[in-house]
Amino acid sequence: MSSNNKLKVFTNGFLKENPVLVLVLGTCPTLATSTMASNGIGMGLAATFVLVCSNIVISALRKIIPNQVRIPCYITVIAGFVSVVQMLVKAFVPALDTALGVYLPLIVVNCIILGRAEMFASKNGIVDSALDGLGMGLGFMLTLTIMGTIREILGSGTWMSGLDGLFPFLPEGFAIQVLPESIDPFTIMTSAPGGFFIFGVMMAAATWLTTRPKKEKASAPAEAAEGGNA
Amino acid sequence: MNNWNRIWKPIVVLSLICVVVTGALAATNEVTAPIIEEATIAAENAARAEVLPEADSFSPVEGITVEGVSAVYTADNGAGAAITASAKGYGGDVVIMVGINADGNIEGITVTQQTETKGIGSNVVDNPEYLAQYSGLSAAEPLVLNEDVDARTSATVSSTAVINAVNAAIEAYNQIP
Repeated sequence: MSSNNKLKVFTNGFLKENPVLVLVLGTCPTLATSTMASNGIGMGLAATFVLVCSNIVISALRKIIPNQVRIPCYITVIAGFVSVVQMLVKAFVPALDTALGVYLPLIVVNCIILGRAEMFASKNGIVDSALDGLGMGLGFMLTLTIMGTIREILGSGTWMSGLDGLFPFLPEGFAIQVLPESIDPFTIMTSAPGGFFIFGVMMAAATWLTTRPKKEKASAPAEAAEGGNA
Repeated sequence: MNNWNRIWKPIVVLSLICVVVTGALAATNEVTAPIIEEATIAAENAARAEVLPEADSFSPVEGITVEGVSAVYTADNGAGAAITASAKGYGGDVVIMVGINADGNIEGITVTQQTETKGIGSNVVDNPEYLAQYSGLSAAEPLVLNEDVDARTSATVSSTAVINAVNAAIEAYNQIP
């Protein structure tokens, strides 16, 4: 594969094959952890780490794992990585464990990770799979952070509150007040209905960005078709 | 040979993967379990010191069974007791630490674990000003919501969870011999 293709594998997850907005995978953790921008960053980082590790291992084992039992094998590998990460985080970064709470073990059932194992890592080489995992993970993190930013600013009036749990060097109680405190926040944005609303708007925006006709590049449609699921 | 690929290979491969993953988990647990336990004890002691600042060190009291109460500790210098109790809130259990001083009054309470709705229930459990109204109340009788302490408007469930947990702690305190 040329380096151009490698770059494409890496950037696919950002928009064109964004795991949440285009592939519609992992919507449950997306809705649950996007109440605050800092939660999105933490969840995104943890999921990216697991995604890269599991993609590498599954890609390395892709010739050994028999087709009939591939899903149980993937799940075992993924669950193993998540448990190891959880124990390490609990032992060495307890603040991060408090910040992520129940969402850390829930990475096991995050469809993005199983989805990429099945769709990509089981068919491609180790380097490409690692890049795919990294790109998909960062795309997931980007989506969660943007969604969390919108929901947090509208719903709580602050931005990046709780970031001190992820990065201990920040002062305790760190938060940027965006809306003046005299404005009552739209509390519905932090609960499930607001989450679905923002989710829908963001999916529409992603669809518009990926499908709008490009003015200058005549070869754009062919490129898009090539980048789709093989 | 056909049987090997069709029947035995999947069994062997899946078993091998399970064994390797289990081994990795056991090894990680071996390393991290003592550190986690130490950190948990340190965090609990810090929370106890926060609700009962006059105490120097704590020792556990055994034999008290009150629903919702998970740990009862008394201060070694007789400054009072620190009790961990939980009650059902809107989004799961609300776990609080109650400090009761030697006079039988509540010294302070902190919420150690909660998953209440951000922006609604969090106004109760994440709000030191709200929790401060428990300080100084007598732990002789169970507290009554909206008499001893105010409920927070639109967050009644979370307010009730906090007072239920405090009352469980009070019941446990009165059983300390």
